[in-house]
Amino acid sequence: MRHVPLRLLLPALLLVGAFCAAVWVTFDYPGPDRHAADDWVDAARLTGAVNVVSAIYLNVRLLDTLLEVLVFSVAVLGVRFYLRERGHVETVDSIPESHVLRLSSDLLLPVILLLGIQLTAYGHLAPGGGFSGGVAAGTGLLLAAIALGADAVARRFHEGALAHLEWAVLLCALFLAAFPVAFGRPPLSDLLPPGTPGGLASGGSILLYNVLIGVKVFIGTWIMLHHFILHRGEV
Amino acid sequence: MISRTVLLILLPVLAIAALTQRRRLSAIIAMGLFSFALAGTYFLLHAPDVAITESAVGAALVTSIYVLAIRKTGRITVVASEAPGLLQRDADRISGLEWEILERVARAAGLDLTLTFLPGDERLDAVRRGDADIAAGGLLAESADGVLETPSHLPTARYELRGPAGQRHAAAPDRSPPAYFSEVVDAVRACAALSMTLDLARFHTLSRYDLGAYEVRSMEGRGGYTFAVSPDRDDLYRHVVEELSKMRESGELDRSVRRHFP
Amino acid sequence: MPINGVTISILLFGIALLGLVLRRDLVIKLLALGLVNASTILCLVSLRARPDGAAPILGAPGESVMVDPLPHAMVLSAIVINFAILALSLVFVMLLVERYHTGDSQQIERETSKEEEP
Repeated sequence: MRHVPLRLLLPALLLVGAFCAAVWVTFDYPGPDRHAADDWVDAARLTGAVNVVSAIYLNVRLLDTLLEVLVFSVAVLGVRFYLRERGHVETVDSIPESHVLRLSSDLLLPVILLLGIQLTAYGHLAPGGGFSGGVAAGTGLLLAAIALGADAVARRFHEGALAHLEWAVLLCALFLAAFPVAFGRPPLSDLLPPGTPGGLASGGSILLYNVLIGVKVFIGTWIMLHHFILHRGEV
Repeated sequence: MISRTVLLILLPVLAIAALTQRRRLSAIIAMGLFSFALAGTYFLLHAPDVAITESAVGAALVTSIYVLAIRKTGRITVVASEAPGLLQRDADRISGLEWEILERVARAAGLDLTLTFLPGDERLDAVRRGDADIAAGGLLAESADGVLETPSHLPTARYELRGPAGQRHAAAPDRSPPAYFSEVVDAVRACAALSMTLDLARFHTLSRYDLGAYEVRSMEGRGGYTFAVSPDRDDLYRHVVEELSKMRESGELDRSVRRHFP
Repeated sequence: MPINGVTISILLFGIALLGLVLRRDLVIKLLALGLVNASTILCLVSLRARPDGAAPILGAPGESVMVDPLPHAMVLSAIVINFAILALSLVFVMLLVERYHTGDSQQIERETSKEEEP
């Protein structure tokens, strides 16, 4: 905060300080409620999942989650569009070959991808879910791109097919949500049985949604990072 | 309970440290640290889902996407050839008069400097193409097209040398274009062998070198060492001109010249 | 003043606002916006946290005093959406910086107002 003139710093400090004090004084903080979680626990027991949070955002309030995934897709689309019209480099310079980096990425990449799969697939039993799993796996791919070169990693995917796959997965999720209408049930409801809580095949279609969202976020993260790398011209 | 309070107190400290950094990279890394502490706080507040998501998104993904975005901005790329006294490499440091000037320009513009060594002709091509911002390292002030030339910061004098006293080699019909030598003595020897002219910094007084075997004649002094700036970076050009005039007025330029060319 | 998540989040919000207003570099301004998001999320999560609570997982020890899981669900969506918005605005900042060769917001304002003059 150098070069900040005093005539700007002092009023800013005063105003922000006054705002924060006003917010704190008028904050109506009722304190933790002892029985707030009881309704949600009952709802989660009905769905059969063990993780109450994933039961909420993938079963009770599924609509918010689907639209949020849509927002993420649109953001990836926007990054692709705005960075493509600026022109990309043909080949990406990679950082100089380093033995330490190569070895650590060889060791870590399977672990990171496995962690991503575990977070996604066990989202209804343990904390995690599709978002964290997809993001973890996407960042693992970034590690591979840093160590092996972005071209080597990108050559294994076909960019156009990848983008289409991302939107296809989103359409699958939306179709899965609308599917119960064919059986006379309201949309966004659960068709699969709850199952025994604690097993992998429990929680109804929470597992399916988690997998779909995980795949979609993984592909979206990799596309976003790849376009940033291409635009910069070096990793 | 105690650890939660400690983490909670640590959060504003990290935030202030992150937002008062001067360089962008330091601010980004400090924000990554802040995200990590925040994830720990979420864990201690009994919110494991939020903690995992915040650490994956905030600490890993946001940091890497910022770092990918800010590369190549905030930098001045300099291409140069080695010129003793002007821009030279000793051990792992770079020193010289031109390097000092460039460092002052970078500090004034708030940017970082990166240096690549290239042979003579390729420097001007790189600057013309826009791959590099500034070409340095003993560039002479001939009117090169396609680049912006800054006012000369060190005047040069031109000398004509002839072979061992009395003996003059036949003038070569095709005088090779002036090359650059890293040792002045080699330059002197090569030029004298072909009876060419030699541009030297005026302070590189020839009396330093044992030139008894050569015949030296100083010609009309002209030219000087300049920088060549890429044509679409006239903001950088203005910075260099400003810094040079400031250094000249304060006498800093003379002091630097005397330091590097004793 | 008790040191719990709510008060710290208000303090962080103030720090982030100051950073957003007083720093001139565009990337630092974006970082301050991210800090605003993080402080809001911290406030939401810690509103319903209890000092002796338990994680919202069925079968975890201390299940009877589980913390309210609704803010967690809302906040998960919020984190992902914040990241998406941040990535897109970072793209715009990159394009701006490349166009005007400077990361300084005041200089960019000067250049754009010069362009708008007839």
